[in-house]
Parts: sequence; structure tokens; C-alpha cells
Amino acid sequence: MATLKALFICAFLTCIGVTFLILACAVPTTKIFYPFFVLLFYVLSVLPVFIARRTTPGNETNPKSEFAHFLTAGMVLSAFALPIVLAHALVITWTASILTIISNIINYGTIFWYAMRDDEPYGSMF
Amino acid sequence: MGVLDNIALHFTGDASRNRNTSIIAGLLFFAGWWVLIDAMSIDGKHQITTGHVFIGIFGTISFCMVNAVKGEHISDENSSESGARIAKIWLLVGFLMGFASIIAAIWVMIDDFINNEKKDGWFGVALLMQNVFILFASLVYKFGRNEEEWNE
Repeated sequence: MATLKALFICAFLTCIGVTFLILACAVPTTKIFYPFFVLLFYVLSVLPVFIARRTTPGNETNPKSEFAHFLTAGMVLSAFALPIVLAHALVITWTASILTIISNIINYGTIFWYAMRDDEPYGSMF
Repeated sequence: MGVLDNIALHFTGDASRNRNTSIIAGLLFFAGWWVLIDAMSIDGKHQITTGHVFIGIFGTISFCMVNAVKGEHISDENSSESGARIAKIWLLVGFLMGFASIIAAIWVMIDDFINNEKKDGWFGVALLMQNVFILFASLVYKFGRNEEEWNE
């Protein structure tokens, strides 16, 4: 039941986050979908730690898991940098940029919250 | 234990120093490249050329070289004398490239942008910022982690 509740909250928050992302693409008069590329950074930010976790359980550390954290930090920063660079280059409006950043905060908050929960019997995502 | 306790433990528990250092290094490294991407995206007259980008590329190569060597490779415990010597030479060249990138970035900023009335000085500053971020990421990643905590 606790797991079901966690999944429900996760899905709900993700939908809210993606809604802001869609608003970022649709709200300006001209429909520009470049903010959708942050979805690529969402996927890439999760993969390194997920892969490293399979070889480094618990609170242990080694160069592989540290490099995974290095890449994850980079991808998280890239998700925030992309809308700022696009707005600075006048490709999208600053309104769309802010909406994308809000989407990032919600989605990364969800990912981080899910990752920080207690380990489930089969092990958590991170 | 709640989520907040897990978060606190994640950033302050065992092995957290290495984890935090890796995250900081990642933020610095990618921030450096994004500064250059931002500068090039608003550069309408191609003031930043391929040669300028290569300064950052050499900085990145330096990052990889410096962090490819472990402390034990160059310590007295390394029984392979030629191996230790090669590791030291590799590390020396890596650091040389890193600092040379900073010097080249400063040179380019002053000579090619600030003293050039046809070019915008900001792009030179962005080039320097990129290389400074990459070098600091390299040093943080290299010296900020405690290798004794590694479980291999």
C-alpha cells in the first residue's frame, strides 16, 4: 500500500511537471518545441547512477559510482542550462524558459524524492 | 527513517565526501561547456572560431588525463618502476595541458578580443570562464576525493 501510494504520487507529480513543459512549448504564440529536449537530459541523468548502483551497493563508493554522480550532476545542470541558453539566444521567450525551469524543478524533485526513499525489498532505483 | 533523513544521510554519511566532490566537479565541468555554448549561440558574426573551441577541448583532455591516474599508481607501493614513471609523466603532461589551456585562454581573450575593436570582449571572457571552470572541475575531482574510501 505504501508502495502504491509512492507510485501514485510519483506519477501525479511527473504529470504536473510535464504539463509545465508542454506549456513552455505551447504558450508563446509560435509553437517551438526545443524545450522538449530536456526530456533527454531527464533520461540521461538517471542512467549513470542506476548503472553504477548495480555494481556498488549501499553506501559504498568507488571511482565508478563517483563518476556516475559526476555525470548525473552534469545532466541536471544541462537541463537547467538549455532553456536559459535558448532564451538568451532569443530562440524561445523567457516565459517559456521559466516554465521549463519550473518543470525541471518538479521533475527532478520527484526523481530525487523517489530515489531517497528507504530501500524496497528489491532495492531502490538509486 | 524518513525521506529527509535519507537525504541528510546521503550527503553527510559514509563516503559522502567523495560523492559530494563528484557532484561539484560535474556541475563545474558542464557549467564551463554551457558558458561556451551560450556565447556561441549569440555570436552572430562567428567571432569564436574552431581554434578557440579547441582550447576547451584540450582542457577536457587534460581533465581525462589527470583523473585517469590513481594515487597508488604513483606511490612507493607501485612495484613496477617503469609503470610508476609513465604514470608520473602522464600526470605531468595532463597538468601541463590544463594550465596551458588557461594561459592560452587568457592570451586569446586579451589579444584577440579585448584589444580587437571589431570583436566583443564578452566572448573572450566566456572563453576564459569555460577553461577556468574545466580546470577547477579537474582539480576538485582529483584532489577532493579520498581514495582510501574506495571499495574495490
